[in-house]
Amino acid sequence: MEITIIHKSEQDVHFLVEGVDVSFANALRRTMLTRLPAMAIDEVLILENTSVMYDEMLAQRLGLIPLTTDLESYNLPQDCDCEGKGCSLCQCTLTLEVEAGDEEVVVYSRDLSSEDPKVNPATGEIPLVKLAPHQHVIIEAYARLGTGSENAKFQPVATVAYKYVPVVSVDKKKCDQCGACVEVCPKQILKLDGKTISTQNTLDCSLCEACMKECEPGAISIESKPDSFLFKVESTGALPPEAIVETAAEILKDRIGVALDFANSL
Amino acid sequence: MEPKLIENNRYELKFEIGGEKHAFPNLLRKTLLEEESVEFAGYIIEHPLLSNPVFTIRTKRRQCNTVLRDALEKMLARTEEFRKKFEQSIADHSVE
Repeated sequence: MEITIIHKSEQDVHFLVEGVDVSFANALRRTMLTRLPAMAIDEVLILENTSVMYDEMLAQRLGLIPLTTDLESYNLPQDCDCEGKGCSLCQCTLTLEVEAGDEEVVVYSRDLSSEDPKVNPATGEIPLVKLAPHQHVIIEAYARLGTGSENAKFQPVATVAYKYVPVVSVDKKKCDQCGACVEVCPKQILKLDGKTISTQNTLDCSLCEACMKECEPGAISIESKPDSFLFKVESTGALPPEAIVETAAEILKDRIGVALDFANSL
Repeated sequence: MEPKLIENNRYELKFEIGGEKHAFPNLLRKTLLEEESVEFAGYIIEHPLLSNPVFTIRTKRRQCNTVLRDALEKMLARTEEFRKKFEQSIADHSVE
């Protein structure tokens, strides 16, 4: 097994895994999507809402805000000592209190103030509601941990996808240097280098095969490398992207461990 | 993950995996099929929303519970290898 990090930033990580089966890649992807716990607002107490937006819609919008998650200090409600009633170990309270003056005001996610500095909206730029002059909202919201299988708002990931590693090859004997493939390629993989077609950044190839269709002599072939996958993991901001992959592997290991105990008991 | 035994003979094993969808059973199926003594390995989810996957293994020569144990150990080792290598490459990447 070989792993190469291609790109890493605060929001996303792209990496190449070689020597694993599709089923492993897919198990990892599904685990990241549905099993990883993340914080989200789950209960909302609307004390005052004189805006034109219905309470239910406002609550829905609050639920969808990604919150930075601290997996160490919070329990999943079903695993908590309070049996899911809600205590400081499984719940975090956020409050929102905004009143518009003589001008209209847009309420953003940054206006939410949290009792725990570790649990905060991942970005402050999300508009929640627009208030006309003198309208106001007073809201108390309770965030808790949950998993993506319960509700998609608990997913810590935006995109988790893998694709096969593209292998683009140009047969120089068949190629007539017409350059049509260069024009048609949406990712600029092919380029005309003097008299030959060469390839660049082949990992960006989306395997659309537009160049193969355009190439009349059939000089271009696009194949995929077996047992190699290019992963793209994009975080919502709830967890750092590398933590998402590591925790997912850990969760997968735990589940295999439970199955192993079962197999040993047979 | 709550496995529940349905049937256990020497060469055939059937169990239900509570709380799982495709991720785990498919990985287990592929890992089992790498082993030569496995004659059949597969799972069925009768209803996508209401039922749990039911996994069946049929083997020849070797007992199915040892084959299952070997496959699960292989899966565990691979996942651990992935986690370690991933952590390592992340660390290497941030140094660069």
